Amino acid sequence: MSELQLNSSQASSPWTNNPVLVQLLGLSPVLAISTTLVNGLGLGISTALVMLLSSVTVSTLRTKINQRWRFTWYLLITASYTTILDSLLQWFYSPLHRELGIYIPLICCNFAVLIRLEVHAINHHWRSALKDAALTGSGFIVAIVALSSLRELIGRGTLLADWQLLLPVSQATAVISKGSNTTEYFDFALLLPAAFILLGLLIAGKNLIDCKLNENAPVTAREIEPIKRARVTGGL
Amino acid sequence: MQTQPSAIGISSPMQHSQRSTGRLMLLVIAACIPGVATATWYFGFGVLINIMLAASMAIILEACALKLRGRDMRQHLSDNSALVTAVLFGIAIPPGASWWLVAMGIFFAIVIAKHIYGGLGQNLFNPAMCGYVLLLLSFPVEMTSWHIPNDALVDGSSFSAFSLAGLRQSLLLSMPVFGSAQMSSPDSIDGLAMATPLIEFKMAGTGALLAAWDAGVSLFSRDSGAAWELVNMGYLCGGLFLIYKRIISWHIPCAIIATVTMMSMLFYAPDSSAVYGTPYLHLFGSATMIGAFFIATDPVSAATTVRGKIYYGIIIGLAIYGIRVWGSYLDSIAFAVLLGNFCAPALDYLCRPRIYGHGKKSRSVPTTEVEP
Repeated sequence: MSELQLNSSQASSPWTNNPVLVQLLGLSPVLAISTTLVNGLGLGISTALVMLLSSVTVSTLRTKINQRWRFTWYLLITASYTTILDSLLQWFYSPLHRELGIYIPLICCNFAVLIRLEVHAINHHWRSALKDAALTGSGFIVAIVALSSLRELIGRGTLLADWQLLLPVSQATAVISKGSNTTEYFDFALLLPAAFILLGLLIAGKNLIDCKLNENAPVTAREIEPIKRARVTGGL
Repeated sequence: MQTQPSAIGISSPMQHSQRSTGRLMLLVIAACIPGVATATWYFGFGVLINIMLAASMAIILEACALKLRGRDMRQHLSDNSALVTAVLFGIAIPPGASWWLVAMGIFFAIVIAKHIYGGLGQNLFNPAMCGYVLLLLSFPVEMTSWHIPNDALVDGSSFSAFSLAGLRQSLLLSMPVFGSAQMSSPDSIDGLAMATPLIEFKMAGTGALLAAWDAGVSLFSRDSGAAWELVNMGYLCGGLFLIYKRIISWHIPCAIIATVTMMSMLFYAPDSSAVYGTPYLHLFGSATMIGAFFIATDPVSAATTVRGKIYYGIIIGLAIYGIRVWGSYLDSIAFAVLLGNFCAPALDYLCRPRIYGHGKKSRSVPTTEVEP
């Protein structure tokens, strides 16, 4: 079973420390946007880009950033990159931008991004921060792609429909075929409860794979730090 | 923190019951018989076929889930709880539903809503209603078309829904692989042969029903209102039997029925054009009876303290009336019961009984908070 790593000097791993499947961070855009694979890819790539750029920036500026105000700096940096990305998307990918809506501006306060800055980028060299952000971002993309392709497949019966949204506007000549599909599919998968249920099943699947992988590994006792409390009346 | 229910939860005057869970569940199923039989008599074999299909699938799925979870299959299958879920689910979905609809709903009910939460006794929500709501949200068209055998639609023929031709047609509707059921006028009936008179009444507000009457479609051979009254009377009798047998307590059904009656009396306006309906229509022209006696009283997902049960019933009653009258869904038992299930843990927490011999402030502590 994978443990949540919040304080490591190593770069984060996209499997054992996946931001969506293990850390369960930044879930609100993941659950809301993952109705189609195109939306999922759009949001995943955008989030990963912001993560990459702000990680490198924070680790470059880490000697200049005042420890006391570091979260303000994180937010300023992520917000700047998010604003730039938002404008670029609006310019080059306006239909996709319309689909993603509020969730692009919300990347700037996505905690899956901020936690990488706080845990890794603020006290590592920019190369290490780049590696860490790339791995975490790829983990984020993989998770959101898995969830959104599952939901699109079950809910609409398609996969990567409206793919031309991923092309810049000048090249997207094909007409968007939204709503033309009248065949009935499992609408429930497009609703939010199904997003929670399917994400839960994905996490269960990942844990199952971990269990199978660790079956033959020697069992090592987990070190549990004793919980510090002012007054302990009994064992916890 | 460890819970110690054996040491703390039980005090000395203990009541013994000879009845096992399996027997209780069988009695619940037996109490459904009058209502189901009346529905079959008036509306054909669709309900029975639904129940049979759902029950067989539920037992298979329950066995698979128990096998996967490594539980003792014989012991857990014999508690019959899957059967009760299947019967309630089969009554709730429209007659003439396809087999895959039944399969999907019962899979969600048994596997997702019950076994993923930890099996019987751990499920937060009523499994049958979870399955029903899943289908209603996913397949609104299928879930609102109530197919009635052809003969029942013809004026003057007596008890013709209860015939071999009706049985054949119902079978074909639920399993279209063997050929297609020839419905007399599928277009109009799909949208019109609705669940209950309450729904017809609600639809009448939009003019659809009147238009159909103008087109010469008779909905039922007899007055459908009378048929539904009898079906609801059947469920009422079954519910009273359950209370007599002390399988359910009177608090939840009484609170629900009283709330629905009060609300419909308060808002009833004979001359207004708004669709409110009489109290009688709300009680006997809809699914209120089966909801109040059979669905809301699920011992696992309902509130358990006495005051909690009454508040639980009031919440469900308010939700039933509110969703019916001001909501966009046709009938509201499932949503109201799920809403009540959401509130049940909080109600139980707030309505803990007072400890005997202590002041008004001291309440018994839920076992999960007990420090060893």
